[in-house]
Amino acid sequence: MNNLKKTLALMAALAMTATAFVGCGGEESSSVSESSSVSESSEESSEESSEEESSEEESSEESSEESSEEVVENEVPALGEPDGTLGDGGDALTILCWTEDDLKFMYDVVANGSGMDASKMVYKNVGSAGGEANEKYAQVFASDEDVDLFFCDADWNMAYQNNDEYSAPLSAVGITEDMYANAYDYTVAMGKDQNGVLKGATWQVAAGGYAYRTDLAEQYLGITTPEDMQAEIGDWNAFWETAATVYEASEGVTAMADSLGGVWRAYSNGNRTSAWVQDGTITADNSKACLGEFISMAKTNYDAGYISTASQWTEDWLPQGMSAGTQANKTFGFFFPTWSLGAGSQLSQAEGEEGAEGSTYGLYNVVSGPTGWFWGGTWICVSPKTDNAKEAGQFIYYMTVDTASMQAYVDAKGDFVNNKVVMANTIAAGTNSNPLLGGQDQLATLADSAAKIDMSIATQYDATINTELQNAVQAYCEGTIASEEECVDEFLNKLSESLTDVTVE
Amino acid sequence: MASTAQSRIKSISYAKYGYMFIAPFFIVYAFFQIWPLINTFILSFYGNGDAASEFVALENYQTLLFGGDGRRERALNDTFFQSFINTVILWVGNFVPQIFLSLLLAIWFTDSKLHIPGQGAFKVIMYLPNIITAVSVAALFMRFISNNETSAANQILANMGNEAIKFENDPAWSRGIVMFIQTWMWFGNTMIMMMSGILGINPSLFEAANIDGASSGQVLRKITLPLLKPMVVYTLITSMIGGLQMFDIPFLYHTAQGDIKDHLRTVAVFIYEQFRVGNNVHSPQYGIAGAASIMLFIVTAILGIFVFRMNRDQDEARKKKERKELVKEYKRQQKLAKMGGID
Repeated sequence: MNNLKKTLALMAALAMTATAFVGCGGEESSSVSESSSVSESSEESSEESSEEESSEEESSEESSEESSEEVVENEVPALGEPDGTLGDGGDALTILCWTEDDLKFMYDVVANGSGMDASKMVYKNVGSAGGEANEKYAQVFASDEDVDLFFCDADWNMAYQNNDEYSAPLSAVGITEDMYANAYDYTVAMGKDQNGVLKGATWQVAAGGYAYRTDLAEQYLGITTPEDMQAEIGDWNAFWETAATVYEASEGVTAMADSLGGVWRAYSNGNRTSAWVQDGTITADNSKACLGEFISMAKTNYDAGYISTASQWTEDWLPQGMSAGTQANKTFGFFFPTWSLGAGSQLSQAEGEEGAEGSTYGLYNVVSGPTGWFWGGTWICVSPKTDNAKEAGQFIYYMTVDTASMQAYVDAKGDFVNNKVVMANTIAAGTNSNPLLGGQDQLATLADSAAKIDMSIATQYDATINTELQNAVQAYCEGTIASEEECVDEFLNKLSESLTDVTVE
Repeated sequence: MASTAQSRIKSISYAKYGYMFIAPFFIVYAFFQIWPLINTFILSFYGNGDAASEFVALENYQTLLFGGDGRRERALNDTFFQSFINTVILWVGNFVPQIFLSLLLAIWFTDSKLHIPGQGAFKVIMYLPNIITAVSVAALFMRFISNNETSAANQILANMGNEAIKFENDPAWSRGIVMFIQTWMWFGNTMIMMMSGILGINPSLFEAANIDGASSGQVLRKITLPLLKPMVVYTLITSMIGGLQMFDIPFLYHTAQGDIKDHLRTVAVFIYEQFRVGNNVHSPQYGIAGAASIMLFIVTAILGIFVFRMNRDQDEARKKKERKELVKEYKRQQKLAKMGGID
C-alpha cells in the first residue's frame, strides 16, 4: 500500500514537471518529405495566405506604355560551385517555411532538374502566417537548429537580407546576379541587401491586377471585353471617372474599388518616386513626396462612394463580390495579385460556390488596371550557418533560374513564375485557362503588369509604413480624424513609435 | 531510557522527502515566474530595437512619463498616458455595474424569505460567460455589433433604412461595448463570491433582526452590508488588479487586425504592441515595454495598499498599535531596571 502511494506521488510529481516543460518545447515539426506523386495540377498556388498581415512594398514609376516587345531569351550561366565560405557535406537540406503546400512538389522539380536525391530535402514548417511566422522564425534561429534555406515573405525578406547574421550572399552557394537575366527586375531588386549584394531569390511573381465583374460591366458600361475595360481604367483619372459612371448607373450601390487598402496597394506603386527612409530618417518633406495626392484622392473618392467602406480581410470584404446577400454588388471589382486568383483563394471566396445563391462564379475578368503593382511573394534566403552549401545552391538554381524546371512547375501549378521566357512560352501555348475568370488566362494579362514593376526604392520598413498609413487614412476617411494634416501627423506619430532605428521627424 | 533503535528512529527525518516532492514546483516557478519578473526590471533600463544591449538607465521611464523633444518621445508619452486613462475608464465602467448587479443577485438568491425557484440553473447560467474564453466572447460580439456591415446591429439598422454605424470608431460606443462585455463576463463570478460572503454571516443575526421586526431594507443596511465589507474589499482588490491588466477584450474587439483604436488601447495592449512591434521582430522595444510594465506594477501596488489600508478594521488597528506600545514600554522599563541593577 505504501509503495503504491509512493509510486503515485512520484508519478504525480513527474507529470507536473513534465507538463511545465512541455509548454516550452519546440513546435516546429520537422518532417521528412515524401516525394508526392505529382498530380494536383489545376491547383493554383495560394501559399500567400501569409499576406493577411496586410502590407506590400511599392515600386516607383509606372512605365509609360504597355510593354508589347518580344521576350528575348538571355543566356544564363550554369550553376557555379560554392565558394567555400559556407559549410558543406551535411546530411539533409533543411528548408524553413510557414506552409508546406508547394514544397513537396518543389522537391520533385529540383530533384528532376539536378539529379539530387529528393529524400535528402526536409522542411521545418512553423505552421503560421504573416508576422507570426516571422516570430516563429526568430525562435528557430535563436535555438540554433539546423536551417539551410528559409522562405521569406515580401513583408520581411529585406529585414533578413540586411542582417548578415541571418542571411548569406547567394554568391557563396554559386548563384550570381547574371543568372537572373530572364527574371522580372523587381524580384532581383528586392533580393538585394542595402549594399547591393544579392541575398534572396524568388521563383514567383506576385503581380497585381484589377479583377472586375463582367456582368456589371456590360450592364452599367456596355463593355464586353477586357481590352475595352482596360481602356476605360488605364490611369487613375480614367478609373475614377468610370467609378462615377458605375456609381450613378447602380444608384449608389456599386463602388469601383473594393477597399481603401486595395487602392493604396495599387496606387503606391504608380506614384511614389522616392524611398520612404533616406539616411535613416523619414522627413516631413519626403513623406509628403511619397504620399503624393493619395490622401486627398482617397478621401474624395471614399466620400463619393467610389471606394467601398469595407476593409481588407474583414467579413465585409469578399462577400461584396457576390450578387446576393447584404454585401451584394457593393463593388465592381477587386485589386488582386496573382495568388488571389486561384482555386480556394480570395477570388473564389468573392465569387462564392458555383450554383449557390448570388454566386458570381466565372463572371470575373482580370485587367492590368490603372498601374503596374505587386503584392507579396516569397524569397528564398541562405542561412550563413548552412551545412549544405552545394544542395542549397542547386535548390535555388532549379527553382528560380532553370527554364525547364520552372516550366514544369508552371505546367503543374499554374503559378506566375519569375522567368520571362517561361511565362512567354506558357502564354503562347495557351494552356492556362482559369475557370474563375470564365476561362481567361490571367498570366497573359498580368505579364505586362509584372514587367512594369520597379522596386528599386524598396526599404525593409515599407511593410510597417504601409500598415500605419492605411490605418491613419482609413480613420481619416471614416471621419475619426478631422483633417489631412492630422492624418499625416497621426501616421508619422504611430510610425515613430514602431520604428526604433529610424528617426521620424 | 530510550533504546538506541528508538533514538535512531527519532533522528530519521522524513522532511527531506517532502522537500523533494515540492522541489519541482519551486524550480519551475523560479525559472518561469521569478526570473522573468526580475528580468523585466532589468530590461526596463536597457535600450530598444538594435540598441537592446545598451544600458540607458531611466531613459525609457523619462520618455513614457515626460516625453521629450523628438516626435517619437512625444508620441510614446501621449499614447502611454492615453492608454492609462483608457484603462481606468474601462475598469471603473465595468466594475461599478458589476458589483451592483452581483450584490443584488446575491442578496436575492440568499434571501430565505424569497425562495427563488431554479436557483441552481440561474447560478450556472450567470456563471457561464466566465467559462467561455475571451476570444470566443469577442468573436461573438463582433458578429453582434461591430464596424462590419454584416454585423447584426448594422443589418438591423440597414433593414430600418438607416446608415451603418462604425461602432468601433466611436469612443462612447466601443468603450460601452467593452465595458458591457467585461461586466457580462465577470458578474457571475462576483455574484458567487458575494453569496459565499453572505452565507458566512451568522444566521442568528438575521433571525434576531426578524424577531425585532426589522424591515428587509434595515437588514440589508445594518447587517448584510457591514458584515460583507471584507468580501467587497477582496473583490475590489482582485478586480482592480485584473482591471489594470485588462487586455483580451479591448485587444480583440477590432475588426481590422493590427489597427488598435486609440480609445481602446489599455496599458497591457500598449505593452504588447511595443513588445512585438509590427513586422520587424528583430527590433522589439523591450525597454519601453519593460518600463511600462514596471510603472503599471507600481501603480497597482500603490492602489492596492491604499484600498487595503482604507478598508481595514480601524478599531482593530488602533488596539494593535496600543498593544505594541505597551509591550515597548514594558521592555523599556525592564531594560532600565536591569541597568539600574548593574549600577
